[in-house]
Amino acid sequence: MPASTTRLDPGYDALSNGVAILDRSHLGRVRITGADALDLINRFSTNETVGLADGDVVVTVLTSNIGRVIELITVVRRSATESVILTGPGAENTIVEWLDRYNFGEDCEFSITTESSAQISVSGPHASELGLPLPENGRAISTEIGGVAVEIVHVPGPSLASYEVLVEDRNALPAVSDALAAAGGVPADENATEALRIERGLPARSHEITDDNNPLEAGLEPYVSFTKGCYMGQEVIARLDTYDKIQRRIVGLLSSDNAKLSTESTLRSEDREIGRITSVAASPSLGREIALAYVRKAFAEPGTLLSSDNGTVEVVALPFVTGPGL
Amino acid sequence: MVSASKPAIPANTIFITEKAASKVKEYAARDEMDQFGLKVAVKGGGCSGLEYMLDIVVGPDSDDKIIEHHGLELYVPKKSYIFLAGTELDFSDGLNGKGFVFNNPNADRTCGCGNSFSA
Repeated sequence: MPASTTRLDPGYDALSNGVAILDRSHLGRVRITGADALDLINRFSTNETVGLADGDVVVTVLTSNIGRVIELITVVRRSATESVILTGPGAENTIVEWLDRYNFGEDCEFSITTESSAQISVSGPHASELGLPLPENGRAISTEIGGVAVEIVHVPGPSLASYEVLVEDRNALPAVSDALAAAGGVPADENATEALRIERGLPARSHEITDDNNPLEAGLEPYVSFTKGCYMGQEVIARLDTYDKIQRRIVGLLSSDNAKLSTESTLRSEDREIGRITSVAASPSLGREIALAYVRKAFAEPGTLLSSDNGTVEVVALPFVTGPGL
Repeated sequence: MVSASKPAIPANTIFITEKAASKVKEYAARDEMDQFGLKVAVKGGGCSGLEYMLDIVVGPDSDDKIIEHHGLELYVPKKSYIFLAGTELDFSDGLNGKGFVFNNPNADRTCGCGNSFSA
């Protein structure tokens, strides 16, 4: 039986049972303009970004020529010549430099808007009850919150956030936050979000999503099209899929003696190194130390016992805790 | 008898074989073009990140490097030239021929179909 959550912070409770709002303005945002911009992204990422309608939202993975992850990005098409890219913290320059390297005079320009704009995640099972006009799944709409023009974006695929609210002018962030809080949104912090992310088994940038990994082992298969045709890295990714050559899997780990686990801890089986821990949390719902880890496929079965730097851990199926949005 | 090895293409140019140049002229004649050259460029795309582009055009763009071999002018955009310097453009005909073939010393990885490369 899960431990009581009454001792938890209100943000975690809101994320799990209500409506949470989280200022995530530190995440990367890039405005892209030009008639060739989405075609360029299409040629360098795993999902289809051409043939979209205005307001469509697509999650895709920029990959290298050997099929490794460069960055996970969300593309929000505003018009035929303007889109916005949402990405992880500090990923903006990587994205712009990567795409610009392969831009041979095409009609495509990038401007990083992270500092000038803002972003609030609205999460939780009752997110739709805030009284906001909401987009359909995989769509974005323009509206006003607290008298401020915003875009509300539904990001398709497994995610904690139900909706992302994009605010073009960072100075207007307090007015939007206040309006969301007045409507019933409970402010959450990154710690609560991180704990819930790990409970749900969701991969994150710099943890499970790194340039050491391909999208399939990083749990990003929902964002890989196997029918779109050629893109950078496609040959490698198609081969991994066709011949089932994925070497590693993301698994959940429970500490057998509830010892505190640490990221980057190596995992061993009979003194053989077979993986490493990538994310750890004290699970508010389970009342236990939990972790996400990459392990070699042969050791990914639930019930497998492994040695970590902090004692024995048991492989368990993901997610640790189910919830809305998955 | 030891046959002489094929001379390397100097790194400061792009070379087109006589067979490939003849093929370009044949296509231009078919399209009744009196004045033309061959745009040789690179575009981002393909499995390995860079794709070759060939196009018969009337003349060069302002930033193109112009190279002439076998009576044919090649127009190479500056940014593309970085990835193409030292390349030999050949033509492979016959039933199993591949058409125009780039022998590019800058390509450290080529995709299965040969149309895309990384450098």
